[in-house]
Amino acid sequence: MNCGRINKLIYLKETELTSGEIEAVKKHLSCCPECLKEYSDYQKTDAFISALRNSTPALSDEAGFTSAVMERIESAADTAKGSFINAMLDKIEEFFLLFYVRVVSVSFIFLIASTFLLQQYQLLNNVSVLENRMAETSFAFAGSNEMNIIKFASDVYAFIKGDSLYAGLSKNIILTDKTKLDEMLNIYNELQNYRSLYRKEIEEKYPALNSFLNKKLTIEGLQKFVKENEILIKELSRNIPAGGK
Amino acid sequence: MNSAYSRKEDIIEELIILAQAGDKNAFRKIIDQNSRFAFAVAFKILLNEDDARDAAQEAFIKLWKSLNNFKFEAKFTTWFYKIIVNTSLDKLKQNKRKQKTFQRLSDLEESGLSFSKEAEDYSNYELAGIIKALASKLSPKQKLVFTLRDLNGMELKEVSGSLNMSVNSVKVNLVHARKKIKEYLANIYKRK
Repeated sequence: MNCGRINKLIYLKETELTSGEIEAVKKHLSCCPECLKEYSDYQKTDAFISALRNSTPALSDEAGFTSAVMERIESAADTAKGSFINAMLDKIEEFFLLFYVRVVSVSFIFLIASTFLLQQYQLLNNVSVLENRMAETSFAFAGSNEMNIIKFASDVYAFIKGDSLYAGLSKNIILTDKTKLDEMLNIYNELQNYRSLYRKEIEEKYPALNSFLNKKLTIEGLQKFVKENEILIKELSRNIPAGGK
Repeated sequence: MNSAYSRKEDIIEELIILAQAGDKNAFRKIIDQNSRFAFAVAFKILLNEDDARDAAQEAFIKLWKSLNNFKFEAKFTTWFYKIIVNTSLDKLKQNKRKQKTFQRLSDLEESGLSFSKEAEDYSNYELAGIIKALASKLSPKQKLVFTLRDLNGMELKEVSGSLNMSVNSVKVNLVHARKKIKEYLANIYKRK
């Protein structure tokens, strides 16, 4: 007979015991007066606890209770409306606190920053190349190297057309002349197009223009021609057909 | 299941359907019908009238928020009962964090409470005092198991689920709790 184990089981209700345990308790109690007394004592305690369980505490002011709940629901709804944005921000914050999201975000920022820095490096490098070429060109210009001048003009033109950011970072000379140069090269291209379409007419009516277009292009020559032939250019510009542009 | 009980469940279900559609008057009726029940359950866990009232209100707010999750597969009272118990247990944890100590046994004895009265005759304060006095003899785990099982009548499996404790562990704690309470009450009776 194991008093120790049964002594614990007597504190459990029948619904808390297995059928084997119930049998064991009954058998033990029938022949152990000490455990039987303890069991009886506990039954009194259990009756008292049951009475406590069944004595429902009274809720005072039931109407006030209901109103208080409804008020709290209304105020929670108002708060929820007001804090919708905060709740969304919290969710976004929670999202970015996830480890893999942080890794991806940091990598993305690093990639963007690297791309930007690389672009800036290339930009500065291009400006540096252009500045060197400008220095070379001014030397070549003095020596009347027309090919170099045209190349320079073409570079500047592409440079200006290509990206305004480049022009913004370049020297003042480019910024000062870029609009004019751009305009003159456009005119020159239009005149070349016009001549290719109406060669005979140009040769007969505008020999000076024809002669100019036959020569190699120089910035100096272009500037001079545009300055001296403003009226002619305007007149031709009006007559240039759309397809000729 | 008797017909009166069945009718009551039907009425509650009708009110829930209305409340799920946003009818606040229907929800008001649900509160009216269940406020005493919610308070009683919360009171036996928190042993304080104000805390129990507050926890019962919070349980109703949670009920309102989660009403659409009720699929009518279980009885409403069973489902709501779990909400009340969980809300009360959360409040109990908050109270513990606030270092709210249980009323000292000596204070209770000095107040001259008698355990020989019929339990139904006690006021809320006296009930709380008796239960606190009993619970003060127990360890935190024993106190929770005793409160949920013996004072609230929860099934062993429900207690096990609510406290995240194995059924065997619940039984062991229950045995120790009941034994201590029996010895405590026996001493009181002996003195009287």
